[in-house]
Amino acid sequence: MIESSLSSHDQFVQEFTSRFTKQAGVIYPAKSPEVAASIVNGLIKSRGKGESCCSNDLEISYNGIQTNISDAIKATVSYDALQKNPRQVYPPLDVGITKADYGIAETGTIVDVSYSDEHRLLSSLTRVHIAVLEKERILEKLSMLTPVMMELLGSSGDRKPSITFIGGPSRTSDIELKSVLGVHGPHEVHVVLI
Amino acid sequence: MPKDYSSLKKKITTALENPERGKTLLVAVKRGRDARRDQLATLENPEQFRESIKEIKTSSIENMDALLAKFTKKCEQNGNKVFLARDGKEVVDYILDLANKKNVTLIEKSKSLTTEEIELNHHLQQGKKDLAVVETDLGERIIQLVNEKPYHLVFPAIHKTQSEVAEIFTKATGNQIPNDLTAIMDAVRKHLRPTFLNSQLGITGANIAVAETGSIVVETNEGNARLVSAVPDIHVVVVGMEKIIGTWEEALKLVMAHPISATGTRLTNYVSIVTERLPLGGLSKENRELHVIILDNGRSKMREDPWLKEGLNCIRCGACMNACPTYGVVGGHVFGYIYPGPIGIPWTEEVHGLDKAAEFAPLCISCGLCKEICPAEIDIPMMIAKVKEEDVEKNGQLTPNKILSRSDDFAKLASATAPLSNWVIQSRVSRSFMDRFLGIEKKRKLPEFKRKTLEKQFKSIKEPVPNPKSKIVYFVDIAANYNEPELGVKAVGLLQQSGVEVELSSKLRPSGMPYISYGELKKAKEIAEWNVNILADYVEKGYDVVATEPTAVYCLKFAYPKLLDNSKKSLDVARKSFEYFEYLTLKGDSQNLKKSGKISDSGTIGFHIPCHQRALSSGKFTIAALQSAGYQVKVIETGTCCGMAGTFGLKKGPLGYDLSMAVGKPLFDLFNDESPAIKIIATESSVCTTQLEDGTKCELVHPLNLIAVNDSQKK
Repeated sequence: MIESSLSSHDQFVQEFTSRFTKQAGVIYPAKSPEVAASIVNGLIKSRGKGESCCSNDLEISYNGIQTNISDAIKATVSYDALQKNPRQVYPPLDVGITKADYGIAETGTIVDVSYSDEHRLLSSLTRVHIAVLEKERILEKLSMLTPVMMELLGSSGDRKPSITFIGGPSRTSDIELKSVLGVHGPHEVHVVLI
Repeated sequence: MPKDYSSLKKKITTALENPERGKTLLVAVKRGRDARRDQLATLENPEQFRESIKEIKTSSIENMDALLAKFTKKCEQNGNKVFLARDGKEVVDYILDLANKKNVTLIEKSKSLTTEEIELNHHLQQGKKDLAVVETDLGERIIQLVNEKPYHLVFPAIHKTQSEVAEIFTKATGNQIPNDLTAIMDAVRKHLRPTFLNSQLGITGANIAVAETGSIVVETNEGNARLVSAVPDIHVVVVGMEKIIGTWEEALKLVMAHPISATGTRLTNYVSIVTERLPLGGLSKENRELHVIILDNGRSKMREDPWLKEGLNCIRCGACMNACPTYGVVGGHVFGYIYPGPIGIPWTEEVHGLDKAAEFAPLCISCGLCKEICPAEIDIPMMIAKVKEEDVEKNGQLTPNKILSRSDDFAKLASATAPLSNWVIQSRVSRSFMDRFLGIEKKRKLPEFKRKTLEKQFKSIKEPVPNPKSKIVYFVDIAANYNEPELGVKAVGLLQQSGVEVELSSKLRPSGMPYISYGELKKAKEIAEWNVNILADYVEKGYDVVATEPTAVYCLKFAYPKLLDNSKKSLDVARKSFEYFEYLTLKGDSQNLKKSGKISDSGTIGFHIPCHQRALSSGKFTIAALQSAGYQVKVIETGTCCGMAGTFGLKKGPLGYDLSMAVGKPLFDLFNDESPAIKIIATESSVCTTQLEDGTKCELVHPLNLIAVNDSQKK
């Protein structure tokens, strides 16, 4: 499925970037996992106003090698601490860092796959959400996710994730139809694209 | 004595007296329509996309029993509890039982119209006095704080201004919130954060339930449903039975259809897919609960009704209320009970009963625009006509509706007695009488009747056409026969000059559209059957059917087949029915035209598209014909109705003329304020002509009266 969409892949990356940016998200290209980690660290510093926490699953496939960059992210709260006592850790948490599993060009959306609610809350309860996405995982159409959904949710295995399509910062137009960002969820969503 | 809708009329009058709120609403619904149109235009094949949504919903409703069983099985296999609730009470009892067993005192909710439908919050708080239920969607929270019902399906608090919202949260939080959007947002975030972190039970609705994996899909732009479904240890989903579909392939199409139609975006900001509970804070998923309550509440019954079952295809996008001309003026507190807007009428009838639906059903003016905009192509106008029929059977018919439904009989009589009838109709005394006792608005200009009808003239104008290129039967409406027979004469002449043989059948009756508008479907069906039988004979002999009135073509193509259960004859006639200018174009004669007589130097012609023509060609053939004759043509439109809506605008008072003129005002303003000034408006609808004559400074002309066939091209 991913292979079939590679032929015009640069075009999809461009479309994804353009749509996500229009939806008030911000994209940062990164040449390598190391550069990505340094961009994330820079964002924590420049955009964060409080505590930050990074999920432990930032596994990046680069030049055929799997690298987990979670340890290179300089967050102030460890993911272990968050897992142990989320209700205490969450209130002051300002920045959440996660891995995005897919990007969808036609909708300008990232796809979050979470196996725990701590992980889900990193991208929903924080003020700033930073996601790391591998360029190769950008698909042209939303419909291309059909087999992914079946693989993740249709198996007989005992762990089925919650999946979220995220199109940028939390928003509402409930007051006089004026669009405003950051109601309950993140005010800012940054995607570091490797 | 029939019901007089005095409460509805009072509410309409109150709404019309608040022009500021009216303006906000009009801007809101227009923005909704425009955003949807723009987003649809970016799709490769918008019509195919719409068709696929209809197919998904139709087949899901057909297979509802099997899908329900499959979803239940899968969802239970995922470790969740599934409960099928017959009605709202069973939902309330289930959640109260859960709340009591688990000592729940704080429930948070994300937006769910299904829970609004059963007034869940109210009943939960009545059933457990120490229980707080907090809405977390901003719009829902606003209306919860002021104890109101949703004003719009998608934007429940659209009627509240920014300053009103600031005041509402000032009162709710005890802190002075300035009239500033960012300040309000900060206050809302702060106000709801403790609820998100401390609720023991979260309730969400579901936009979709996917049978093949037993998953639910919840779409929110604010992201509140993510929090409601993640933090509390108990998550309850209340989902209408009709939301269950079979596959992910279908679900991924629907998640795009919702926002495209609702807000004009490709995807809702957060689409959350939940299949089972996840662990949180050391608590394993087995110790966290997911309950899925599937609500019937009349849906099974709805499915048995051949006309109303289509309502189950509704994806709750709210597009129909953005297109509805009267909703756009009076809003959801007048045009709605809990479910507002056009689709709210059949839904209310099914889940809250006829009496509640009948309270606002007369606000539907049968323009058909809701059907045109609906992503699932639901025939909302005919469903509403069915609700009106039930209302009329139970409560009787209003006098003006009775009279106007029979306008063909009156036209016949007035024509036979003209010019005396015209004198009587126009006299002040009789207009006052008609106003007072018959409910026909005295301010409305009524058309003149001619004694020499088209029918009477036809023999003398019919010419033999040697080797005709085609043969048509002219489906004549009231206006072209009784009020403006010269227009009919011209229509016949032009076709004959173009080499088309024209027939007229004196047996045919006018379309009968008013019977549909006023809920007299048996009579409408009788007329449909009568006309279709006659026309089908012509069609069988190789004739096409042509009409000059868009509503007449609309009936032939859409209303008659629906009324006659898509009988073969009705479909044959529908296939062979054409708008006048469409037919001229098909026969290759719309290029051989010139400007006609008196109006040859008029500047730009303003063009008005009647609502029923939007379901046909949107006037494209007529516009092209006028252009080929040498006119500059500009379509002037608000995207909705001029307000006349057949005979609706002839009726007196708020449920007629007053509302009709309020609906038309934005369009009148566009015509009147156009620069350079528009002097002439061309439109093919006789009733729109009356409305625009009353509301604008322009002269109204039927496009046929603007053209003639080039002499050199005459056959």
